[in-house]
Amino acid sequence: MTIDWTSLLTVFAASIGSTVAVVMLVATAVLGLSARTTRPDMRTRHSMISPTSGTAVAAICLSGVAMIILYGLCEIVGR
Amino acid sequence: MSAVVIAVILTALVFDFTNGFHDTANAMATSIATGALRPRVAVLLAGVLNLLGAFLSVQVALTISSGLVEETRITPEVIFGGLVGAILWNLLTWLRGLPSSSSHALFGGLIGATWVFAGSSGINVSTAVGKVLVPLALSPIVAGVVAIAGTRVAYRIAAHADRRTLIRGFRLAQVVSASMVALAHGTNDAQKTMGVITLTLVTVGLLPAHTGPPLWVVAACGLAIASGTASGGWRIVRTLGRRISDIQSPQGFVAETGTTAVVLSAAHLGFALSTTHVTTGAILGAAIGRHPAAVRWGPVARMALAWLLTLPASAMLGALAAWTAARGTAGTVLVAAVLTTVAGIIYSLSRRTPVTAATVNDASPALPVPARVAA
Repeated sequence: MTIDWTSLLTVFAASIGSTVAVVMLVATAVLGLSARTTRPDMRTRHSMISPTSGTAVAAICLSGVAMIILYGLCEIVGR
Repeated sequence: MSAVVIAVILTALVFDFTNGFHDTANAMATSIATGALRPRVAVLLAGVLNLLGAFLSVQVALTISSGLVEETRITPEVIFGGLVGAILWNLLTWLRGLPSSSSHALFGGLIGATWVFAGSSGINVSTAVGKVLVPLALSPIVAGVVAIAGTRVAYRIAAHADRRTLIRGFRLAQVVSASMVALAHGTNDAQKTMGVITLTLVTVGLLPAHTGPPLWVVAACGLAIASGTASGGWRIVRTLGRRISDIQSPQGFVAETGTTAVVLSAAHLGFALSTTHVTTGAILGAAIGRHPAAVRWGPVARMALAWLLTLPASAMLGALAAWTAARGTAGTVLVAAVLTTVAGIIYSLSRRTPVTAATVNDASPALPVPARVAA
């Protein structure tokens, strides 16, 4: 009986790595977009960025998410 | 192509349909629960993406069709019996609203049917354990750990986000993540039926051994699972979306992202995972990641019991059906008649306490708030 532990560990590493990366990027994008709606006098020390910068951060993060999703799809389709 | 082979293919497609409506919840339960998608829209979207996903890969189909059982030792009647066992178990668990694994049911049915017909030597234990059973057992744990990590990261980063932006942002993200689960489900689960049909065609010599599924098999399986998914398995949607915990949109997003990552990476390496186990593990992990006390352990325990029973119960049903079907044409007809009758009875029982798109969310979804506030 052979159990391919290397492949199983690969699944775990790839899953946790890609999930945490995507979640970090989406959460950061949400935080960035919050700057567009938060009033200047209501900003906390974590949201001391301008609406323009927040939007730019969100755009960069969401582009990263799109690239990860496309990479995953290409890997599957390419088999 | 003989009548028995046609009957097996049709039964396989019926199984694929039950697989679809049994597993609608895997992709859409949390999106429906958090209000990210309306129930009808959610299941239609899932159905379309299931169909697309079916065309993405054949790695899992190859695992099923070349290695799980010795294809030279079985007949189409044996595969028919295995499928009947799997369908019956799927219907019984659907009636109880239990998200048990359609994959476990299929493998159990096939293993039981093969065992009664060809003995234990007809089963490739190494492949069954290494490629199927171990990944099936480990997958909910892996998905749970992934979701715990992802949920903690999501709430930590978004703790100071604007509340309305948080809700809207994660609900939009959920539409994408749920779509990805539906795609992964189509890729992973439709392939199992493709594998069974391919196995049947190999056993009667219509295809060479160790070959992949032909295009018509891929298309038929994709359509069957997509139809089942689009019909909506509301009972299981309610269990997964509302009864494990009050899932909020960041948790739903993390659970769906984790499920997609685990299922797609496993399918890439040819592991035949249970999407149900992965999804349930991820939802449980997302619930624990925000607030362990918010988990309702009663439904989780009932699910765990169903998971433990799935393999032996479907194996016994498959063995009984295969033994009867192998008696000859009369036996095959008898098995088909019993399946139809039991399916009709189960459907009638389900109408006594119907769960529909209108009643699937029996309480309004909670608003997402950062963990430190929610705690």
